[in-house]
Parts: sequence; structure tokens; C-alpha cells
Amino acid sequence: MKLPMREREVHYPILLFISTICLSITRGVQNSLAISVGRNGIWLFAPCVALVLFGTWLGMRIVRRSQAGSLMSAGAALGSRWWPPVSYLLYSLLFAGGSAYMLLLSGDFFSRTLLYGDSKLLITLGAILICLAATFNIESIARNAHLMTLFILPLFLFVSLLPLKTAQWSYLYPVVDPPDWHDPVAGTAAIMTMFIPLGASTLLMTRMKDKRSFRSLTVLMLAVALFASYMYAMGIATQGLAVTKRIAFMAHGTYGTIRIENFVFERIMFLAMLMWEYMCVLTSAFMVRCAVFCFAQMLSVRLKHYHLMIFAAILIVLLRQAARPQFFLAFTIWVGCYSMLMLAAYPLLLYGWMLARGRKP
Amino acid sequence: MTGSGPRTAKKWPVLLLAAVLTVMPAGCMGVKQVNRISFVTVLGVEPGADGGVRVHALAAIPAKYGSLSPDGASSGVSSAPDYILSAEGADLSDALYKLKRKSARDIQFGHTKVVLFSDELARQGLANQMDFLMRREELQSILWIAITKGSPVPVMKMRTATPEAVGDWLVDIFSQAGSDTAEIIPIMLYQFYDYMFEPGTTPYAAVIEPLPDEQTLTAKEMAVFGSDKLLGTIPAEDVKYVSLLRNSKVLPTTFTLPEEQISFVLLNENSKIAWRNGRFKVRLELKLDLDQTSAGEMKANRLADAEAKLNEKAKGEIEKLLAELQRLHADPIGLGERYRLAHGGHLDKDEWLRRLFPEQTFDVQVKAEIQRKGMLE
Repeated sequence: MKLPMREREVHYPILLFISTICLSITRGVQNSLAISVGRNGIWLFAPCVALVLFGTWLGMRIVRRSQAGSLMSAGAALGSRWWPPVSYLLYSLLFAGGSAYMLLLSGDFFSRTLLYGDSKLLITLGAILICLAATFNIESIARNAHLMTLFILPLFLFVSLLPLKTAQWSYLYPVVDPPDWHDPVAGTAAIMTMFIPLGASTLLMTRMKDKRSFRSLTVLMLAVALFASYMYAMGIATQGLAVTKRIAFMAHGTYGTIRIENFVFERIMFLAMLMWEYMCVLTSAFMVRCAVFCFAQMLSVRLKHYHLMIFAAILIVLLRQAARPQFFLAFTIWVGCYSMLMLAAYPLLLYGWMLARGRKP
Repeated sequence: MTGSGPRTAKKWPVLLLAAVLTVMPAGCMGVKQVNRISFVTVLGVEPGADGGVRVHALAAIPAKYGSLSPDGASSGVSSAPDYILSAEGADLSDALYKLKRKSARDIQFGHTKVVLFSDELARQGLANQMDFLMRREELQSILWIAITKGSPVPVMKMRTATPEAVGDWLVDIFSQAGSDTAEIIPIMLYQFYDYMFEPGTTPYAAVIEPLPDEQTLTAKEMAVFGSDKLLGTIPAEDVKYVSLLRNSKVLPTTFTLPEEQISFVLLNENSKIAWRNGRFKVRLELKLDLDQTSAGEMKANRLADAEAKLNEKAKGEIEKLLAELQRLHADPIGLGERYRLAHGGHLDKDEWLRRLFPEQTFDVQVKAEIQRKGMLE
């Protein structure tokens, strides 16, 4: 019997799922949320995921109606030849922002934990490795996400359930807390950061030419929002709200509270972070490839490996300048606000324009 | 979006570069062998001269540890299983760095299981030290915190009868994998740090002291804190009530009626604390077993009397404990958390400890039920 060595179809929502789940526990999302909206962040994930899914649904509707390859090229069907290059540039900046966010985060985190040392060096090495990983085509990256769903994600989710043992549930009360509602824009932007990969949804999913992918994406994104909300709640329930606002990396602290006596993974926090780092490499490579692909499309040229190398060099130069203690949180808010614009406002604008031109999508 | 497509044959330079990067600059170069590293198991901290701190690090000798040595532990060998490095610095970071001057080996703190603070330093406040310990990623946030009377060095130098290493002794006590008693409530670093800031509860830590026989350590008291400053201690007999009222994991403890010479062993418990009508309602239910060894001549009709006497005794001891905690302005039970929940979820910690907590009144009820009556006539 011959084994099926090649899959015929890659299910891209899984790639988006792995990427968003990786981003959902990052410092920029969880810590920024704790500082800006406190306990209210637990339920704030729900309206944010609804907004993002609405934007994605609008985008797919526009693409289907205009019979374009993606939301970026859909503008051409509306009669403006400048729209697609501008659109590709805007999305390229979104993915570049997402890549920079991940590389800054990983470099900063590992320079303080497993590989104690110079964060700029680790950011440089990270950018080189990620850009090398991004030379694999998008199908390969998506198949890697399939493998992670099978071999990494179940154990990662299991480990993520273990803080339930140390939770102090009263810390979550009151879940709706108006005095803690310091900066709702920053809180929403922090959550929107985790949905950056969804900017590529119309690039990837229209290939499948069916509605199954959007249904699947909806279910998976709701699951990610639930997971992110759960991890955020666990952070508060295990460490207290006051401490989550002070510590550098909330999810790392939550995993750090797990103690399993006489167990092979006694330092379970290390295991969770190792699995998370696998997902980080995949997510970063995916976003780097998307950023460079969109930029190449803007220039109407075919994506080449040297484009990725140039991108890596630019990233290294910029990130080495940006590796400063206070820059990271501010950068998260910028990227988050931009993500909110591109994932929700942009499809809505395009939809409105199509309506105004009498071409109901 | 596939770009150049699946041209695997042309990938080999990329894969080779990735492999070289993984193995060399980002991975396996400059690794230190395990025999060139000193693993610290216990840290002791006390005040130093000029407002600084003095740090003592108990470093393990791997061959003396059963879990680390291929030949098993060195039972019968006279030398100690670990050694102490000491240094003084302006703060904890400075002192730990200075330890390196005294060691030929790299010092790793990732396996530190316990941090002992002297009571003198704890009275000055542990905020700076806790902040450092939490922020230094190398240290685990699940290490235990304990207090020593005077310098931690006598405790760290102690060679306990079994286990031989004092680090193992402390781990066995605090993990409750060895000795398990409700009279010691272990507290981990992240919990201590959390209780320093959370409005509804305050930190606590077991007080470890060596006995004159130089082979035994004991925890006869528990230190209680305001936010980060040690305010006083409560005796081990009262610690079991803190444990019971916190609804901690049920651990063995006894209740004794001295006049009747009867002891009861705790089987199960349930405690409820609520703030209602301007006062705290504290209700404790105990399920007990008559200790077989002290059953003596006890008759069945005396059980009801014994239950009533136990209720009164436990009630009196709890009321005394609560009054002592009010006097100290310390809340290790977490009564403030119940107060916060009953008042919309907001509470100022300072106001709670200074003004509100000492004003509170308590309605304590204890209901003991002797479930197993043993060998009765």
C-alpha cells in the first residue's frame, strides 16, 4: 500500500489559528491589556473577535463579488489602478509591523530568560533565522502549522490548563470594573495585535473557493479569543491584578506558578515556553513572507529570496535602534491601532465605496 | 503567493546556513559542562553593613545528592553535602554578583528552592528583595520563602539527621511531600509577592530555627507581615487555624482536650467566612477521628460532651487568634478579600490594615463532629 505523501490541499485557517494563538499570549497583548483596562480585558476579547470576523467576512464578500485574487487587488475592479499598489503597501506595512513585534518580543524575552545576554544580538539572530524560514513557500509554512496542531498544540493547551490548580477565583471579581477602564483604545489595540495574521485571510482562503474555510476560520478565531481570554483571566487569578501590571511577561508568570512535584516536567514553564517559541518561529516566518510578498506585489515583481534578505537587513537595522525598554509597549499600541484600521475599518471603507458606486457586493 | 515555488534542490544553501546558525552562534557553542557549575539550592539574606545586604548561597555538591549522583547519595561520608558562599553588597543584585569572586565555578540560581530571610531584614521590609527575585528570570517564582530568627547561616550550616542536606530538608517540609502538617503553611515567591500588593490578604512565612542538638530544625512559629514588613509571629498551634480558615488543602493535625486527655485527628474540614450585617461570620466544620492511642476509658455517652468542649475550645482559640491578628494589623487569612467582595470589589490595602480590620467584630461558630469513634465499650 502506498502512503499518501502529499496532501492535495492546505487548510489555511489552521495557519492563521496557530499564528494568532501564538500572538495571543504575548507581552504586548496581555500586559498592555492589564495596564489599560484591568479585569475588563477578560470580556473585551469577545467584541474584538466579533469585529475582526466581521471585517474578514466583508473582505471575503468584496473579493467574491469583484472576482479579485485578494482584498488588496479588489480595488482594481472598482476602477482605480492606484488602489491595489497602495493597498498592498498598507498590508505590507501591517505584516512588517507584526514581524517586528514578534522579533522584538522574542529577542527581549530570550535575552532575559534562557539565553541571558544582549537583546540586540538575539534580535539580529532571530531576524536572520526567521527570514531563512520565510524562504519556504507559504504551503510549506502552512503544512508546518498542520504538524504543530497535531504535535505541539495539544500539549501546549494541556499545560495551559494547569494554572487552574493555583487559581484564586475571587481575584477576577469584579469582571466589569469601570474604575479600571483607564485606556480602552490601548486595550482594544492590544487585543487587535494578535489578529494581524488575519490580514492575509483573503490572500490565502479564496484559493479554496468555498465557504468552508470562513466557517472554519470563525470557529478557530472564537477558540483563540476564548484561549486568550482564559490565559488573561488565569494571569489575574494566579498572580493578582496588581502583580500582572508590574511583571514583564504575564503568560510566562502564569506558567511559572505551576508546580508538579516529582514529575519529569517539574519546570513545566520551560516546556510551555519552548512550545510557544516553536509557534513564534512559524508565526514570524509567515508574517515576514506576507510582508515581503505584499511589497513585491506592490512593485509588480515576483517574490525572490533576495527580497527576503533585504527585508531581514532592514528589520535588523531598525530593530537594533528600537530595542529600548519603553519602546516596546508604545510600539504595541501603534501596531494594534494600525491592525484595527486594516482589519475592520479598511474592508468597511472599501465596502462603503463599492456601495457608493452602486456595485453592491 | 508561493513565490519561487517548491524548488527543494536549491534550498540546500539555506538549510545549511540555518543548520550552522542553529548549532553555532545561536545554540551549542560556549556551553558549560555541568561539572563546571555550582548549583545553589538555598539562599540566605540578612542585613549587611551600611544599609546593604549580606547573601549566603548554599551550593550543592552533586555527588552528595542521591538524585544527581550516578552512585546514589553518600550516606556515611563525613563531609557536608554542600558548602556556603557569602558576599555583601549594596543590594541583592550586587551581592549575588560578588559571589562570583569567591567561586571557581559558574554559579547557577535556577535550582534555588528556598530563600531564607533573617527576621531583622524582614522587619525592615522585603519589598526590594522580592522585586528583585521576581524580576530575575533565572530564579523560579515557585521557590519557597521562609524566615530565620537571627542570621540564616546557622540554619544553612545545619546537618540534619535525615535528609542530610538542609536544602532537601526544607524542600521536604515545604513541598509537603515528606512531612505534612497543617501547622506549616508554605508560601512561594509569587504568592508572597502577590499578597504584598493584593488588598485583601497579607504575606506570611514559616519561621525556621535550629534546635540545640545541631541535628534538628523546627518551625514553631509563623511570621506575619503587613505588606512587606514583618509585624510579629503566631505560634504553630494557631497556624492550623489559619490553614483551616484559608480553606487550604486538608493536612493532618490534632485537637486535644488536655483535661480529658483525649486527642482527635482531623479527617476533613470546611470553613466559611462571610461579611454580613456589619460583621464577619466565621464558621468552621471539623470532621474528626478519635485517636486510637488515647481512646482510653472513653464511653460513648461522653462523645457529645467532648464535641461540645472541642467546639468551645476551638472557638476560643480562633477568637484569640483573630484578636492577635487585629492587634498586629496582619491578615494572612484573607479576611480583607471577603470584605472586598462584600463591598463591590474595591479596597485600599492600607486603609484595611490600619483602620478597618482592627474595628471588625467576629461571630465565630465551630461545629466538631466525631465521625469515627474507634474502639468504644
